[in-house]
Amino acid sequence: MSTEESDALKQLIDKLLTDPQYAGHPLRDALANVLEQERKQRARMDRITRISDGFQAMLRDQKETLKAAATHDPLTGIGNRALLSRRLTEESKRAQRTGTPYCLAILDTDNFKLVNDTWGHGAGDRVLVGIAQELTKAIREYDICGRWGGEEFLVIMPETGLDESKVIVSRIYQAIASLAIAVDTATIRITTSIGITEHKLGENYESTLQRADSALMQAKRTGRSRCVYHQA
Amino acid sequence: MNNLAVPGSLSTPSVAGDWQAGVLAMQGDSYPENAYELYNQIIDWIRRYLAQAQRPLALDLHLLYLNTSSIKGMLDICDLLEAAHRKGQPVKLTWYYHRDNDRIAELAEEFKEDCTFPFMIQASEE
Repeated sequence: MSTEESDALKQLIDKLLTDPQYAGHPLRDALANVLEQERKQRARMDRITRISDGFQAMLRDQKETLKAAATHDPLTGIGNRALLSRRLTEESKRAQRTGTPYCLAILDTDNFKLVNDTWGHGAGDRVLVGIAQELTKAIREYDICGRWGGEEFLVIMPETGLDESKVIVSRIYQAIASLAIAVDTATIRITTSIGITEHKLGENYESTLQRADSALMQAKRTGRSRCVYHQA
Repeated sequence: MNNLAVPGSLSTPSVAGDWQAGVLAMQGDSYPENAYELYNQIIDWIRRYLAQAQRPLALDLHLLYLNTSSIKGMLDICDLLEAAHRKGQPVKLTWYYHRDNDRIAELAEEFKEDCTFPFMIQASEE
């Protein structure tokens, strides 16, 4: 029944109920009762709907929380390994489709063990959080960064060639180098070693990652605190 | 045996009605395939208790998620308690929620709205 029909019916019933010629008619009371029942049912329905909407909203929020927990690193708040793996798979497919490769950078925090051993793990955690913040600020809107594990971070630069990646990578490198983490008596400054490579069309992301990793190893071997670009 | 015992599952709350103690406890999520069957059992038990036991009744709820039919069942239960209360029979309901999930408390408030019998909403740590 449409709202108009239902309103018209209600008006008609109200008119019948107030009509003096039906006062005392046995159907009058029954009709009044039906009308009252209908009003109550309607109110009950509204209430059930409202409460049910509340439970649905609660479930939706819980789902969002679970999703965030499954894809984000709890310490730094940026993407975790699961998210990065998924995005790498997606970006590799997209590169194949569009013919435009992406660049992948892997960052390692230099002498991170020393930070932990000297200033404690709390300070180490703050360094990691600081790096994540700098990374988030330094990348472009459509780049993806995340914590790959331990003190290693990844940056995926979609539809970006190796030459083009240099400006972003050096921005990241500079941002982290200027990071200053205050601990009780001193300021921790850190540097990073970064290995960068371009995804080769048709290869899986593991191969791209391996190449970026060997560039990172080279950066470490040749004295740390530097960026090494590996031609695809 | 006048006790009611329905084991809980992923989608149904565990239900325990203790006739002697005058306590009906429900715990867990409630989105059963057949909510009417479950809630009718509970409603029948409460009805019988209220009619025969002539003693106070306490409902202890540790419910999390309720689907629409379960909400309807729970409102029917509130109606039963309300009617008993108006006849002077002592009834009370306590809805426990984990203090990390105060959304449940807000929703319990919605159930409480038209009730004049003692309806408590209590945070628990467990």
